[in-house]
Amino acid sequence: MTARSELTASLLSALREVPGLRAATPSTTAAASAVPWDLDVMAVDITEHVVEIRVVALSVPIPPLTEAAGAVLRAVLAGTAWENASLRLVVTDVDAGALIP
Amino acid sequence: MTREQPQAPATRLVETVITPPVIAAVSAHAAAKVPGVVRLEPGLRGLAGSLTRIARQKIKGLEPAPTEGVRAFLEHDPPDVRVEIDLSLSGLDQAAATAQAVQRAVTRAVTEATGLTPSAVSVSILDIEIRGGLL
Repeated sequence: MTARSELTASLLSALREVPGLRAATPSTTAAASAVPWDLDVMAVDITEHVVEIRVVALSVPIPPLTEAAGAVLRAVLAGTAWENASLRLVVTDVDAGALIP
Repeated sequence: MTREQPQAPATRLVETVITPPVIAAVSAHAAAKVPGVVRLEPGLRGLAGSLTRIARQKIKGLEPAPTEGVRAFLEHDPPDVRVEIDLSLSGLDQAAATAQAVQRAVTRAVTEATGLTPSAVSVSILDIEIRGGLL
């Protein structure tokens, strides 16, 4: 396992603990459960200077969610080669359930 | 559209990017709830975009949050959010008053949900239901 794939796994693991957000990938489809690897890795791009994670909002308002996620994910980056990289959270979509009170 | 959360040192900011489908979904939900709005009008272009989005959301395992009838535009330099809404109104209400209510509701909803304030919310009334959409 490379450092990037280890970091990706750690980031996704941390993101799953953040309520109201999830990785923007086919993780809940039946097809996703049939493949032997974690499709959520498709939501993470890691370059030398930027760590980008695409997420779907499961509730609103979004700013407190991304703020909480940012703090959690920053903690994951601490002590790695990407400690000083920019962390970018891209909210690609919002679930219909998020808009129902 | 991006916003930076200032709690971290300058070199370790968390950048949040809100994409147009998020703005459109929030706007559509807010507009549809305004009294006097019968329905949002997607048009042919909107329907095509909607089908694409629904298919993409199915892949993601999501329930599609409707965006039909709404177009959201995000500019990064300078930062700007604009929303365009096509809809049908009830003939029982004043069209201008209802359109203004939609503008207020959409602006408030987008700001509350995303932290971004639209600079413009354009409402196009494509149809008026004479019987208020009740018959």
